[in-house]
Amino acid sequence: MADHVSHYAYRPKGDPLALDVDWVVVGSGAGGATAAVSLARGGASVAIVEAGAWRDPEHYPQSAYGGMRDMMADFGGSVTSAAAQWPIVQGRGVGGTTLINSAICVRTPGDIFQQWQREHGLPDYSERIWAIQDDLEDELAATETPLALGRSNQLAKTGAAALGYDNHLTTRYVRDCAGSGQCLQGCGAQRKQSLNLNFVPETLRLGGTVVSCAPVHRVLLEGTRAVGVTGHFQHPRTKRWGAHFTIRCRKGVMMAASVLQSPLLLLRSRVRSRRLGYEFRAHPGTGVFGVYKDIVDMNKGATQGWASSAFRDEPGFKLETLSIPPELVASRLKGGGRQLMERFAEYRHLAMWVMAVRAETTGTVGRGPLGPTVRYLLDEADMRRLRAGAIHVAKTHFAAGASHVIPGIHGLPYKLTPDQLGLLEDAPLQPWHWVGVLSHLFGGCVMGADPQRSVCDEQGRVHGYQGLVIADASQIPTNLGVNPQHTIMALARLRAEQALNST
Amino acid sequence: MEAPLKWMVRFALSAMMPGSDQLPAIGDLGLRSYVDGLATDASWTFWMGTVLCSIGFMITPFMTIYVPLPAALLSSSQLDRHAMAMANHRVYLLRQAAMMVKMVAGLQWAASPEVRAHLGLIPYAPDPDAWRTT
Repeated sequence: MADHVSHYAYRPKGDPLALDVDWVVVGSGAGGATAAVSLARGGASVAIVEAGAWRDPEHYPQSAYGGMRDMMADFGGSVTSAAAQWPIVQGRGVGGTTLINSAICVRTPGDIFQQWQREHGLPDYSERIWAIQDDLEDELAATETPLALGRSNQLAKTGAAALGYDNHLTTRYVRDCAGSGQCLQGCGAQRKQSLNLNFVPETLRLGGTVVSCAPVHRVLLEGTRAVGVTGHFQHPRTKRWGAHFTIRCRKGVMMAASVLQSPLLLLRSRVRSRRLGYEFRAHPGTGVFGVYKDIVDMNKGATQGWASSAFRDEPGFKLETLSIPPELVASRLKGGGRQLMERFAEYRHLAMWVMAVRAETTGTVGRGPLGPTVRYLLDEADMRRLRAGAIHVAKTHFAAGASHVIPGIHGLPYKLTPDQLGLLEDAPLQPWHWVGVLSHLFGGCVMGADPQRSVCDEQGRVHGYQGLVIADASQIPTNLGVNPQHTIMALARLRAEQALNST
Repeated sequence: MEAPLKWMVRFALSAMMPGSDQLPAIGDLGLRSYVDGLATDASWTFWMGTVLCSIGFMITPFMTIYVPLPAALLSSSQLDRHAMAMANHRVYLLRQAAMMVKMVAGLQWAASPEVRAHLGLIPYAPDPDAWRTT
């Protein structure tokens, strides 16, 4: 066995690593980092195994290219395998998706717990989850975004107020936001509380270990008991495979490798479950640009400072501002060649606001030749929700003073004026006419009382196995309709508490 | 084989972002080193997607502007019409290919100090391309 070292990064071939711990946590995002620190606080020895590299704020890229290369799975190129190829956003690296999200903090809605009880036979988690969320908000400095941070956010507030629907400035895990517009590239200003800055270092201080650049190939099983994980290091730049690693555990493996990777890893490990990879869900969304007479400069200020949940229950979507980097705006505008150049010249006058559907559509995550394959295509009911959301965004832009909106829907004019909103109401409902994206992924290893309909039980334990616990969003069996990080972290802490109490 | 593929990618990116009176062309912004770097940095699937979409750009003028020539043999105005038509084409896969080319081009073009200055943004610092090794 190696002497205790707190962090192991890439090792070339011929320099294998073997460790023994109480718990192995696979993944270091919202679920993994929270589970790990909670286990460590409870006195367990923990190893976090993360496929990506560990980057500190001084290592963060500023460009979108650097963000995709350094912080996103598959260079940001994951898409759904269906008639419409919509990108799937997932972070990679110590901190997981918390590196590249906007750290929006929303409590789990009460109706979700009722739905889990009613449809999945789960106990009422609400009291404990909300108590954990109280603690997390204190630990990670959940703070309301100041209105001053960004003209795009200010305009959204103005528009929503004019239309008279409930809206709010987002609460985020951010200490004293600098308004640098760099949430999606990691926040080099160190204000965003991604979990590589807090829970992971705390795990180390408590005697834990981090193994980075280390994609787990499979979970080691002895009969039906999980006894460790194994894989090979992978160089973050060259992608070359390095030394073999084996981490054995006395108590169990917590799976928090992401909605795409956790089911895939269990499938590779020949874990038997009829529902593995099923019940994949997401918040599919799209953005609508508003074109304003005055300069907006949406990339100055908080990346996502405004939101509305007024339409979460009916028709079923949420609204947010989202300042995407200029590098990605170019692909989001229709057209090519000189036409695209002319359109891009308006960039400083654009504000992008997005809507995300609380979709009922389910899909699957499976094994493809090059990694996870997601089959997911929005059904007509969800496309109607998507269209209704786009209309609300457009109306809000106009109420805030936009002269035009740019919906980005094939078959519609490039720009719409207020009196052309009817065209948006008749927009096509086929997903391939829209430029959509899947964020906030759920499912694939869903929890439930019935082993025939779920992968893990009410404590996240994989049915029929010992020492194998799901601690990430893949256990969530429904669409939350709100930003999920707070729920994922609270569930992960609950899983760690349950694991500590049962071993 | 690698050099022709990279040339094809550079050609597609240049045609998609040719510059304007106000904005520079991507071809004037270090495109060769960018494509060389992308071939190394990107995942295999992302790079192959870029190559395939660039090949698609090269061979589809007959579908977009009804000219039976590869894009490399089009006149400047035809090439511009092809780029525009491909991005707005009724066939979804062609639109998607155009979007991929635009995204790859945009990652370089809009990150350049010249374009960022035009947008009122300060230049990016070089990406550190580093991580914890111990």
